[in-house]
Amino acid sequence: MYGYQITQRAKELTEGELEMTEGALYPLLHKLEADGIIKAEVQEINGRSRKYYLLTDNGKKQQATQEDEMRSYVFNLKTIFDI
Amino acid sequence: MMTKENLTEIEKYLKSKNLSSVVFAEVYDHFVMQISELMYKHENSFPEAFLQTKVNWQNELKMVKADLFSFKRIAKIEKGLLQGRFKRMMMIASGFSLVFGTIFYFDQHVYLYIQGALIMMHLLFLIYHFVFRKMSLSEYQKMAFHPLLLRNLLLMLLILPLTNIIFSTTKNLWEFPLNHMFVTFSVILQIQLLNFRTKKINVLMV
Repeated sequence: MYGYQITQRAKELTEGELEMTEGALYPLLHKLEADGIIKAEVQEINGRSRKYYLLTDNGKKQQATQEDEMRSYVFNLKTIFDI
Repeated sequence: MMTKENLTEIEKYLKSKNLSSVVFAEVYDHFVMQISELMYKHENSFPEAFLQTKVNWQNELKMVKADLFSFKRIAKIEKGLLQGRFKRMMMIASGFSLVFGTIFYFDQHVYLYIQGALIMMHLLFLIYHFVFRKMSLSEYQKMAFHPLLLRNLLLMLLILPLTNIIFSTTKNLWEFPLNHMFVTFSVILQIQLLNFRTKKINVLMV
Protein backbone atom coordinates (compact mmCIF):
# COMPACT_ATOMS: atom_id res chain seq x y z
CA MET A 1 0.00 0.00 0.00
CA TYR A 2 1.13 3.57 -0.56
CA GLY A 3 0.70 6.60 1.71
CA TYR A 4 -2.53 8.00 0.32
CA GLN A 5 -4.04 4.53 0.07
CA ILE A 6 -3.26 3.88 3.75
CA THR A 7 -5.06 7.07 4.85
CA GLN A 8 -8.10 6.20 2.72
CA ARG A 9 -8.18 2.57 3.85
CA ALA A 10 -8.00 3.59 7.51
CA LYS A 11 -10.86 6.04 6.96
CA GLU A 12 -12.90 3.43 5.10
CA LEU A 13 -12.39 0.65 7.66
CA THR A 14 -13.26 2.89 10.60
CA GLU A 15 -16.13 4.56 8.71
CA GLY A 16 -14.44 7.95 8.96
CA GLU A 17 -13.69 7.63 12.69
CA LEU A 18 -9.94 7.45 12.20
CA GLU A 19 -8.59 10.28 10.09
CA MET A 20 -4.86 9.96 9.80
CA THR A 21 -3.05 13.22 9.23
CA GLU A 22 -0.34 13.14 6.62
CA GLY A 23 2.06 14.78 9.02
CA ALA A 24 1.71 11.86 11.38
CA LEU A 25 1.65 9.16 8.72
CA TYR A 26 4.82 9.80 6.71
CA PRO A 27 7.25 10.30 9.61
CA LEU A 28 5.82 7.11 11.12
CA LEU A 29 6.21 5.17 7.87
CA HIS A 30 9.81 6.34 7.53
CA LYS A 31 10.56 5.40 11.13
CA LEU A 32 9.11 1.92 10.64
CA GLU A 33 11.17 1.60 7.47
CA ALA A 34 14.35 2.62 9.31
CA ASP A 35 13.51 0.10 12.06
CA GLY A 36 13.13 -2.68 9.49
CA ILE A 37 9.44 -3.27 10.24
CA ILE A 38 8.38 -2.31 6.72
CA LYS A 39 10.23 -2.02 3.44
CA ALA A 40 9.55 0.28 0.52
CA GLU A 41 9.36 -0.38 -3.20
CA VAL A 42 9.24 2.49 -5.66
CA GLN A 43 7.17 2.05 -8.82
CA GLU A 44 6.55 4.40 -11.71
CA ILE A 45 2.83 5.15 -12.02
CA ASN A 46 1.70 7.60 -14.74
CA GLY A 47 5.16 9.18 -14.79
CA ARG A 48 5.23 9.62 -11.02
CA SER A 49 7.25 7.72 -8.46
CA ARG A 50 5.02 5.90 -6.03
CA LYS A 51 6.39 4.35 -2.86
CA TYR A 52 4.67 1.14 -1.81
CA TYR A 53 5.17 -0.08 1.73
CA LEU A 54 5.28 -3.77 2.59
CA LEU A 55 5.71 -5.60 5.88
CA THR A 56 9.06 -7.34 6.33
CA ASP A 57 9.27 -10.78 7.97
CA ASN A 58 10.21 -9.05 11.19
CA GLY A 59 7.27 -6.70 10.69
CA LYS A 60 4.86 -9.60 10.25
CA LYS A 61 6.06 -11.12 13.53
CA GLN A 62 5.66 -7.77 15.28
CA GLN A 63 2.20 -7.36 13.81
CA ALA A 64 1.11 -10.76 15.18
CA THR A 65 2.50 -9.93 18.63
CA GLN A 66 0.89 -6.49 18.70
CA GLU A 67 -2.44 -7.92 17.56
CA ASP A 68 -2.36 -10.50 20.36
CA GLU A 69 -1.51 -7.80 22.88
CA MET A 70 -4.30 -5.58 21.63
CA ARG A 71 -6.86 -8.41 21.67
CA SER A 72 -5.89 -9.30 25.21
CA TYR A 73 -6.11 -5.61 26.20
CA VAL A 74 -9.58 -5.24 24.65
CA PHE A 75 -10.69 -8.52 26.26
CA ASN A 76 -9.53 -7.33 29.68
CA LEU A 77 -11.25 -3.97 29.25
CA LYS A 78 -14.46 -5.71 28.19
CA THR A 79 -14.29 -7.98 31.22
CA ILE A 80 -13.87 -4.95 33.52
CA PHE A 81 -16.73 -3.01 31.94
CA ASP A 82 -19.03 -6.03 31.95
CA ILE A 83 -18.73 -6.49 35.70
CA MET B 1 -8.95 15.14 -15.67
CA MET B 2 -5.89 16.94 -14.43
CA THR B 3 -3.97 18.78 -17.12
CA LYS B 4 -0.22 19.03 -17.53
CA GLU B 5 -0.45 22.64 -16.31
CA ASN B 6 -2.23 21.49 -13.16
CA LEU B 7 0.53 18.99 -12.45
CA THR B 8 3.15 21.67 -13.05
CA GLU B 9 1.36 23.96 -10.60
CA ILE B 10 1.43 21.27 -7.91
CA GLU B 11 5.10 20.59 -8.64
CA LYS B 12 5.93 24.29 -8.44
CA TYR B 13 4.12 24.66 -5.14
CA LEU B 14 5.90 21.68 -3.58
CA LYS B 15 9.29 22.78 -4.92
CA SER B 16 8.85 26.05 -3.03
CA LYS B 17 8.83 23.95 0.16
CA ASN B 18 12.43 22.77 -0.35
CA LEU B 19 11.58 19.11 0.22
CA SER B 20 14.25 16.46 -0.26
CA SER B 21 13.79 14.35 -3.39
CA VAL B 22 12.46 11.31 -1.50
CA VAL B 23 9.89 13.29 0.49
CA PHE B 24 9.01 15.39 -2.55
CA ALA B 25 8.14 12.33 -4.67
CA GLU B 26 5.96 10.89 -1.94
CA VAL B 27 4.14 14.14 -1.12
CA TYR B 28 3.69 14.94 -4.81
CA ASP B 29 2.02 11.58 -5.44
CA HIS B 30 -0.18 12.12 -2.39
CA PHE B 31 -1.19 15.59 -3.61
CA VAL B 32 -2.07 14.31 -7.08
CA MET B 33 -4.16 11.46 -5.65
CA GLN B 34 -5.93 13.67 -3.12
CA ILE B 35 -6.71 16.39 -5.68
CA SER B 36 -7.89 13.82 -8.24
CA GLU B 37 -10.29 12.33 -5.73
CA LEU B 38 -11.68 15.74 -4.76
CA MET B 39 -12.17 16.52 -8.45
CA TYR B 40 -13.88 13.29 -9.42
CA LYS B 41 -15.76 12.15 -6.35
CA HIS B 42 -16.71 15.56 -5.02
CA GLU B 43 -16.83 17.30 -8.40
CA ASN B 44 -14.56 20.16 -7.34
CA SER B 45 -12.66 22.25 -9.87
CA PHE B 46 -8.87 22.01 -9.84
CA PRO B 47 -8.32 25.34 -8.02
CA GLU B 48 -10.83 24.32 -5.33
CA ALA B 49 -9.37 20.85 -4.89
CA PHE B 50 -5.81 22.19 -4.88
CA LEU B 51 -6.69 24.81 -2.28
CA GLN B 52 -8.41 22.25 -0.07
CA THR B 53 -5.41 19.94 -0.28
CA LYS B 54 -3.05 22.80 0.54
CA VAL B 55 -5.18 23.62 3.58
CA ASN B 56 -5.10 19.96 4.67
CA TRP B 57 -1.31 19.94 4.41
CA GLN B 58 -0.83 23.45 5.76
CA ASN B 59 0.58 22.32 9.09
CA GLU B 60 2.92 19.69 7.64
CA LEU B 61 4.26 22.01 4.96
CA LYS B 62 4.70 25.02 7.23
CA MET B 63 8.26 26.34 6.98
CA VAL B 64 10.15 26.07 10.24
CA LYS B 65 13.76 26.39 11.41
CA ALA B 66 15.58 23.16 10.62
CA ASP B 67 17.40 23.06 13.93
CA LEU B 68 18.22 25.29 16.87
CA PHE B 69 21.70 25.78 15.42
CA SER B 70 20.67 26.20 11.81
CA PHE B 71 19.44 29.20 9.85
CA LYS B 72 17.92 26.98 7.19
CA ARG B 73 14.14 26.80 6.96
CA ILE B 74 12.50 23.55 5.93
CA ALA B 75 8.98 22.10 5.86
CA LYS B 76 7.72 20.74 9.18
CA ILE B 77 7.24 17.24 7.72
CA GLU B 78 10.91 17.24 6.67
CA LYS B 79 11.99 18.47 10.09
CA GLY B 80 10.25 15.54 11.77
CA LEU B 81 12.18 13.09 9.60
CA LEU B 82 15.42 14.99 9.99
CA GLN B 83 15.22 15.15 13.77
CA GLY B 84 14.62 11.40 13.89
CA ARG B 85 17.75 10.89 11.79
CA PHE B 86 19.71 13.31 13.99
CA LYS B 87 18.64 11.47 17.11
CA ARG B 88 19.83 8.18 15.67
CA MET B 89 23.14 9.70 14.58
CA MET B 90 23.71 11.16 18.01
CA MET B 91 22.94 7.84 19.67
CA ILE B 92 25.51 6.07 17.49
CA ALA B 93 28.12 8.79 18.09
CA SER B 94 27.44 8.72 21.85
CA GLY B 95 27.81 4.93 21.91
CA PHE B 96 31.19 5.13 20.16
CA SER B 97 32.31 7.98 22.44
CA LEU B 98 31.48 5.95 25.50
CA VAL B 99 33.43 2.94 24.23
CA PHE B 100 36.41 5.09 23.21
CA GLY B 101 36.34 6.97 26.52
CA THR B 102 36.40 3.67 28.40
CA ILE B 103 39.29 2.39 26.30
CA PHE B 104 41.19 5.63 26.97
CA TYR B 105 40.57 5.29 30.69
CA PHE B 106 42.02 1.78 30.80
CA ASP B 107 44.72 1.87 28.14
CA GLN B 108 45.83 5.09 26.47
CA HIS B 109 48.14 3.31 24.01
CA VAL B 110 45.39 1.10 22.62
CA TYR B 111 43.16 4.16 22.47
CA LEU B 112 45.73 6.08 20.44
CA TYR B 113 45.85 3.37 17.78
CA ILE B 114 42.08 3.13 17.53
CA GLN B 115 41.63 6.90 17.47
CA GLY B 116 44.33 7.18 14.79
CA ALA B 117 42.59 4.55 12.69
CA LEU B 118 39.27 6.37 13.08
CA ILE B 119 40.73 9.71 12.00
CA MET B 120 42.44 8.04 9.04
CA MET B 121 39.14 6.47 8.05
CA HIS B 122 37.46 9.87 8.23
CA LEU B 123 40.20 11.44 6.09
CA LEU B 124 39.99 8.69 3.47
CA PHE B 125 36.22 9.03 3.39
CA LEU B 126 36.60 12.79 2.90
CA ILE B 127 39.11 12.33 0.06
CA TYR B 128 36.73 9.83 -1.55
CA HIS B 129 33.95 12.42 -1.44
CA PHE B 130 36.13 15.20 -2.80
CA VAL B 131 37.54 13.08 -5.63
CA PHE B 132 34.74 10.70 -6.62
CA ARG B 133 31.58 12.25 -5.21
CA LYS B 134 32.13 15.82 -6.36
CA MET B 135 32.02 17.36 -2.94
CA SER B 136 32.57 21.10 -3.15
CA LEU B 137 34.45 23.17 -0.61
CA SER B 138 31.29 25.06 0.29
CA GLU B 139 29.59 21.75 1.00
CA TYR B 140 32.51 20.73 3.20
CA GLN B 141 32.21 24.07 4.96
CA LYS B 142 28.52 23.39 5.58
CA MET B 143 29.41 20.00 7.00
CA ALA B 144 32.01 21.53 9.31
CA PHE B 145 29.36 23.88 10.70
CA HIS B 146 26.65 21.27 10.82
CA PRO B 147 24.13 21.92 13.65
CA LEU B 148 24.99 18.62 15.33
CA LEU B 149 28.71 19.44 15.33
CA LEU B 150 27.99 22.94 16.63
CA ARG B 151 25.89 21.43 19.40
CA ASN B 152 28.77 19.13 20.33
CA LEU B 153 31.24 22.01 20.23
CA LEU B 154 29.07 24.18 22.45
CA LEU B 155 28.63 21.37 24.95
CA MET B 156 32.38 20.79 24.90
CA LEU B 157 33.08 24.47 25.54
CA LEU B 158 30.72 24.37 28.49
CA ILE B 159 31.90 21.12 30.00
CA LEU B 160 35.67 21.30 29.49
CA PRO B 161 36.29 24.33 31.71
CA LEU B 162 34.04 22.67 34.28
CA THR B 163 36.16 19.51 34.38
CA ASN B 164 39.19 21.63 35.16
CA ILE B 165 37.38 23.51 37.89
CA ILE B 166 35.85 20.39 39.44
CA PHE B 167 39.08 18.40 39.47
CA SER B 168 41.11 21.57 40.25
CA THR B 169 44.20 20.07 38.78
CA THR B 170 47.13 21.13 36.68
CA LYS B 171 46.63 18.06 34.49
CA ASN B 172 46.68 18.57 30.76
CA LEU B 173 43.27 18.58 29.05
CA TRP B 174 44.47 15.55 27.11
CA GLU B 175 44.34 13.46 30.27
CA PHE B 176 40.56 13.57 30.69
CA PRO B 177 38.61 10.79 28.95
CA LEU B 178 35.68 13.19 28.54
CA ASN B 179 37.68 15.36 26.14
CA HIS B 180 38.44 12.36 23.97
CA MET B 181 34.80 11.41 24.00
CA PHE B 182 33.95 14.78 22.45
CA VAL B 183 36.56 14.28 19.73
CA THR B 184 35.27 10.78 18.98
CA PHE B 185 31.69 12.06 18.92
CA SER B 186 32.61 14.70 16.36
CA VAL B 187 34.57 12.30 14.09
CA ILE B 188 31.83 9.65 14.19
CA LEU B 189 29.24 12.30 13.38
CA GLN B 190 31.23 13.48 10.37
CA ILE B 191 31.65 9.92 9.10
CA GLN B 192 27.89 9.43 9.39
CA LEU B 193 27.19 12.72 7.59
CA LEU B 194 29.42 11.60 4.73
CA ASN B 195 27.74 8.23 4.69
CA PHE B 196 24.30 9.87 4.40
CA ARG B 197 25.70 12.06 1.63
CA THR B 198 26.74 8.90 -0.27
CA LYS B 199 23.23 7.52 0.10
CA LYS B 200 21.77 10.90 -0.93
CA ILE B 201 19.74 11.11 2.27
CA ASN B 202 19.00 14.61 3.55
CA VAL B 203 20.91 15.44 6.72
CA LEU B 204 21.02 19.20 6.14
CA MET B 205 24.26 19.09 4.16
CA VAL B 206 23.12 21.18 1.20
